[in-house]
Amino acid sequence: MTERKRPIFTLENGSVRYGGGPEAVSGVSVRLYPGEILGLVGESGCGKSTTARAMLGLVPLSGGRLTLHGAPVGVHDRRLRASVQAIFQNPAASFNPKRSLLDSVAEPLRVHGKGTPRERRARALAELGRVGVTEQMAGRRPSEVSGGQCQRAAIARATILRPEVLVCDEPVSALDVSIQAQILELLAELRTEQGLAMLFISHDLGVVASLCDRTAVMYAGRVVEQGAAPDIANSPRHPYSVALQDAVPSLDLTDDLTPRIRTRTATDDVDGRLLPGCRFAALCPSVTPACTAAPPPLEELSPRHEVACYHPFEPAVR
Amino acid sequence: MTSSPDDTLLSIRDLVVEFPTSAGTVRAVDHVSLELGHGERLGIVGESGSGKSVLARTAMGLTRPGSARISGQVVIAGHSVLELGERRRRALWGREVAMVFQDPLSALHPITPIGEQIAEAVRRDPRATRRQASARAVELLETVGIPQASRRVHARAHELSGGMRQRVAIAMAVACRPKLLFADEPTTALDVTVQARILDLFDELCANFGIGLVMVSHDLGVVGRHTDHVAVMYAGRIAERGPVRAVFARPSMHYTSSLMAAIPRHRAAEQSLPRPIPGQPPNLLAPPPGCRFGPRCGHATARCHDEQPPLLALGDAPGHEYACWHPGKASR
Amino acid sequence: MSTGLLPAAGAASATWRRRLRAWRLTEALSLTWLVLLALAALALPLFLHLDTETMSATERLVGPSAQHWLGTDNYGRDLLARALSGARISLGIGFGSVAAAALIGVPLGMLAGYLKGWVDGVVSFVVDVILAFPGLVLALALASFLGASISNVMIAILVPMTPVFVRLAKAQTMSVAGREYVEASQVIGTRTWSIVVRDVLPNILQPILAYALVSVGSAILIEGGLSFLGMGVPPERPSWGSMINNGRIFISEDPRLVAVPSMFMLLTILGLNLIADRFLSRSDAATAGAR
Repeated sequence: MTERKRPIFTLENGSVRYGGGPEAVSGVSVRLYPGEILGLVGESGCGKSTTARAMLGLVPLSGGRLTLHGAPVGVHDRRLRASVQAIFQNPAASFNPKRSLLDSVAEPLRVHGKGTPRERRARALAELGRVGVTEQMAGRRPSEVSGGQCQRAAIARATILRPEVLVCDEPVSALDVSIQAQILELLAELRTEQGLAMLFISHDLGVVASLCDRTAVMYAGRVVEQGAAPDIANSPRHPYSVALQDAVPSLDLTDDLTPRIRTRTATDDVDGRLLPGCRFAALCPSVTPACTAAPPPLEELSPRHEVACYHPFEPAVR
Repeated sequence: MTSSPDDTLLSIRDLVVEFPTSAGTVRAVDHVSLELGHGERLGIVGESGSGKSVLARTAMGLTRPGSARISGQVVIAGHSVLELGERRRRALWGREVAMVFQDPLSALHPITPIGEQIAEAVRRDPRATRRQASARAVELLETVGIPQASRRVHARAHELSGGMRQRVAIAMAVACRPKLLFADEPTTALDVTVQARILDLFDELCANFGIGLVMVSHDLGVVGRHTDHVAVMYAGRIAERGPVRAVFARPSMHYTSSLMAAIPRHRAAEQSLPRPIPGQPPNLLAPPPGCRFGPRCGHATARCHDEQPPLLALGDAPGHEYACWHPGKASR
Repeated sequence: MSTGLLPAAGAASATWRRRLRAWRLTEALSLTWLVLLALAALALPLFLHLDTETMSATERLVGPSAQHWLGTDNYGRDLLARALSGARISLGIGFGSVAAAALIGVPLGMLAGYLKGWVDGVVSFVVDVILAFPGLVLALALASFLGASISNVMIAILVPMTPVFVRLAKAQTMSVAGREYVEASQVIGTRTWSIVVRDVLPNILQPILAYALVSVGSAILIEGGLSFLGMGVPPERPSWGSMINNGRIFISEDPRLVAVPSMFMLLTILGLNLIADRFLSRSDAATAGAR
């Protein structure tokens, strides 16, 4: 990952507004590179899922644009549909309950007019086999198989067209830990074998830290920090990222869990999207008048580590 | 976990809970025994289908005898919960034992102001007058960390954030100072920063009021950081239990160690994927005859597939027990 | 419910047996009644030449006998023959008008629910206007305006009934359209009509079918009401409603004339409702399972 390729699929300065409310996503840029997984983390309502849905064309952008291979692309463009695929959170719900998994996995081939019904069936079976779904399971309906099996089938459906980009919206959140690790392994394989570019949405910092190459942290509709996944996990600089990392109850009981910063009130009690300046200002312990005046831009603090903060957190020397 | 019987707050003996279904009988809880002393915190962890929630709900007396076959004994503060009639069981709820659920909205009335709901909970104690109850409601809201409590008593559930709702639900649960609190995945629906605050609140309540806590969770980190004892469940049985530090530092049953290895770490020095547990959780309609984890375990031998391992004591810490024929040796 | 009819072995037969056993006695009886009635209505008049019209001066208002199982009416016509023949017309009008209402209403409702926007605006406005009239009054007005004939009765019934199908289909479509599998299809690039037909329709069919069965019952009732008032099926063609209309003059002398068609109507509508309930509970279970 030392020499940077050109991004395949980007969202440039994207904004989304639902109805008349405040913007759910404000000026977010996402760049996806081949063979790289970008993790997008944040808490509920931060706009991470909306960002994913906007990139899939499931919600309209109120500002900004999508590009594919450097050229702007509309959400109804067939090229976009063939090269950008998705995996959703709820494995069983992402399949038509009346159809077999096999039918659903073969569906993208039918939609894009590839092969005869027989060939499509054979390819779908092969694709399902590759992700570990047996022929016997493939004939079943989504309600008749486990969540893990369903999510494997969802991966098969997403990869059967050999897309370049995979958008995963909380793909392992509904799964038990032991099954979740199986799916993460499968996704990591896909990245290496097929060189897929992935956007990986999750609220679970552990999942993102262990799977992703880069991490972007969202808060109240904006990206507040992004950089290499280990950097974000181990030395976050935005006060919100620090608070977020602090809050995860680490399994290694030797880890020191003394919070590095203390937010001024409960984080789910404030809607930062209404603030004119930094959206974390109401909670941030190191807030100054500058913070409430204008939103801090996302700037590079160290190579490939960008932070949107006037007073980034200084890690104590250990 | 407790030495003298007077200290015992909760005692579960040989509890079996079976649900008849059209496809056969599901044994959700399979001969489980547990004990908890006053003011102690016990975490029950496991994946879905492990029986952890059914265990807690049955111990609380919430599993309806019509839908399940229950055998065994549950004693909470001297009351045999399973033998009590409906009315006496209800009288226990709130005053001796209370429960906090995953979804606080299920515990809260949508229209009644939260202050009134808490006051109502306070009045489950017949000695409390109406006026006392209202005053106590404000006090309770302050205790659970809701700012501007005297103003917030008029709020309705939907006007509050998820974290605030859970605080209100906790205030209602502790309104009559129960001795024992069950919490079933109390923070699963919450964001991680909010979760941290709610867990701190549980810690404070246990420390300040001597409440015993049984916390059911799928999250090992949550249980590891906020309880004293842990019981790991798999397919209806206790796989391993003991003091949290002992169990997490020396997991001896292979399911425990596999589960810990399967959890993604967020602060690891080097990036690595979690190690998956092969296979699928067992079908509870036809569980494997021997060790329930046998078919997924890398160390299983013929004995594991034939004979159920009993819970055995481990030397390193009092109360550390595991159910495994070939306990992990290579611990730290 | 005999399971002996089914092959004893095999997983497929086991699930079939479980499904059959799940039918309650009342539902089984309802189904049996409806099937027998339909068969009798369709087949008996053809093969046995049951005489619905022959009048007899000597056999007026006689009670049940070996020759006339349910007796005769005021013109000496066989009541059973007339009731079965009436079943043809009543069931035909009931199923026919509901099928037409569903065929018009469901596609409109699905389009409105899936596309939203101006399509929904236009469809909803028309639906609201029609529903602003009380259903029975609208049917009466239409029937009296169009004149008494079988096809006009069907039109009078289906006009007030169609908007309800539109609304039901729209609500069901909107709930299904937000599901992840519809979004998954959108991401694949599936065209809208294909999503509507393959992903939405099969998943909203069950509650609509249940409602359609209940509607057949109400259609039969409306038909009865219209015929009773002389605005429905012409009197020379026996329907249950026109039989009741004919018998009402003799209700104190011989209540049989009203009771026989009324019982046919009651049992049929009850049967339809019981079976519809079963459909509804199954679709509830299915949607609950999908979540």
